Amino acid sequence: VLRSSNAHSPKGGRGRTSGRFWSDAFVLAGALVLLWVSTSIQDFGLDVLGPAFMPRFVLCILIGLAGLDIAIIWWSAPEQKAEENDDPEFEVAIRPRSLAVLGVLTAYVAALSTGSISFELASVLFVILTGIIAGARTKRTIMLLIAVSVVYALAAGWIFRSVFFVALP
Amino acid sequence: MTDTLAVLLSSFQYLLTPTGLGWCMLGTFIGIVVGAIPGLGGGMAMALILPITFSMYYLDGQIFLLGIYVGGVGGSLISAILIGVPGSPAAVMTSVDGYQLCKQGRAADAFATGILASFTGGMVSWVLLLAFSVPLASIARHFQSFDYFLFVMMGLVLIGVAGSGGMIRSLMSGFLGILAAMVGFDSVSAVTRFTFGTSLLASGFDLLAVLIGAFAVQRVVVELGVLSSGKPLVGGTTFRDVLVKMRSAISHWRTMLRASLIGTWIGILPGLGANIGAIVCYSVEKTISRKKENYGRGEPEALAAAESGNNATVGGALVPMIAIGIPGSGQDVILMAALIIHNVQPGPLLVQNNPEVFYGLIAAYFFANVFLLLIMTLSIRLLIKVISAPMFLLAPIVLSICVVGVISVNNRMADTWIMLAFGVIGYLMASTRIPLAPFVIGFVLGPLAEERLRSALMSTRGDLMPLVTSPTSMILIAILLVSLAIPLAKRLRKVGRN
Repeated sequence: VLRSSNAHSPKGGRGRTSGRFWSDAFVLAGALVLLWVSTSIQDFGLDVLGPAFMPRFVLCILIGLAGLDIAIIWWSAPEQKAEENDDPEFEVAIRPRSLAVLGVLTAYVAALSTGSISFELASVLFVILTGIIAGARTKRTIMLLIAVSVVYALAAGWIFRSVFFVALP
Repeated sequence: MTDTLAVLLSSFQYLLTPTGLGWCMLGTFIGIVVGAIPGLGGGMAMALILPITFSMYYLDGQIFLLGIYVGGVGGSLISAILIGVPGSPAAVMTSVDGYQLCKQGRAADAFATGILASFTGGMVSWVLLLAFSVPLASIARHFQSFDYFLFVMMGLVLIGVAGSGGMIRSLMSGFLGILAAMVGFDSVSAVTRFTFGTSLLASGFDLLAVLIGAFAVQRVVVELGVLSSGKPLVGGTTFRDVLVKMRSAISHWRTMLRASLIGTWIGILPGLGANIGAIVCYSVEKTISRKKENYGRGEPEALAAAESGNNATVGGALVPMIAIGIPGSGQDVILMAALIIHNVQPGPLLVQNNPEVFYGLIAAYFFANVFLLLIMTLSIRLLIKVISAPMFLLAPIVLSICVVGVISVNNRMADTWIMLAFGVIGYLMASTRIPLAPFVIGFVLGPLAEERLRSALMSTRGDLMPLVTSPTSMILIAILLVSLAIPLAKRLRKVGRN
């Protein structure tokens, strides 16, 4: 009874199968929404297929694949799910440190896009913050990080502005 | 034939100039260093260097990137042997026996065998690249637009069937890549698609921003989440130690040759990278070896098989890229992108329109392998020190260069948001077991496939029959259906049984 209840659940096997299920569900829902959006693509009849054909073709395939994968996850036995989860190439999980780095990176990109602070200052702050998240904890490593961030920011700013003529804030 | 030889010789001559040799050597050196650092890898370095190649002569850019590609696969053996953590997935099998050898105090043995095997793999696949790419390109020149569309579809299906992550999810990844490439203006009718009325999306996603986001940003973010603190076991291996042990490493020549041939074949199949090549070669050698019980306990023969296999895939993967225009791996997508940005189209006509690129790549691959052997042997002591570089210094600088690199291409800040978005998408895909390589391959090939299909239909006035009636199309459709049906039937039968 336990096995059958596990088998007919997206959480059967281990937790990572749940991630698979929800990513499939996201793809399925997204593809359905985009399929609806594709009805607004204008067609001037320049060619036989038109600009909307290929997106719809791809979206239909995606809907089919996501639906099939959801069905397979739903009906797979727990042992089979565990076997699939043991693939060493996919030992990736969402980690707080990764999310923190993405947050700092977003702030860095926002600062550069708005031009609110100079490239050099933004880069020094970004390198120090990311370095601390990445494991610089002792006084010595933080001092090293500050020195490297200043040298890097000045060097990169000069090279990209003067050599590659990039318009940096 | 005489013309071919003349162009090939002139390519070798170009590679022998200070410029050609310099870019090749620098690329290989950077690739080895980056490949040696766990978590970085050649693909990430190639994505990062890509913007710099825009301002270079396109052949120099290709030579530079190819050097990084070859160096990245070869260099990953260093950390695999010393700390048991592969520098990139390509060295996953090297870390099994290489690390055991190192623990037994035989690091020099491991390095000598690994370096020699890497060189052998590279050279054998170079010979096959030279032998197959020209005939394959001349056959591919007769393909019609419908055939090319089917080729792209077949490539995506083969990636799905044989690649890692399962067929369905690999296919899903490939089609998501095609879908992402459809955002913006349609090249045939100039109608916008999926822009939601924003001007930011009207010109579509910049190829470079997508590649840097999906390869470099994603990779660094993933690695920061799983930081390891491995320390090298043996730091004192020198050039002399490696050279002395190379004599005994030569005794594994049969294994190296066999693994190189298998590795090249695996490389030719789309989507199967160096990691699959290493695993397959290791498994095959283990099955036929007389010392199979020593595999996994520090057997140099096992190391030779893994390293020859993974390096040979690089040359193999170049065959479909330069001959048909279908990239065999993620790194090949970056090489292709570097050509497309310079208005050079890889594919059957490359040998005709840009023979200097076609033969230049072949010549560069030869020299990159020679440099791999020389640099790794001569600077082994320095390279061992490199893997101790702290991630807290490397990661922020790499991410910052990603941002500035993307801005530098079009001088457009909006591209950094696209890069960031694809970094997040890549990270989410990796954590939900959707492989990334099919996505970028789909992103690059999708627009080409659509363009070919629509132009073919224009020429046949909407008649779809040639899609299923020409001999080439029929063969391709048969392969496509069989490749799809067999694994799907197996999978469904397995689910049904359970």
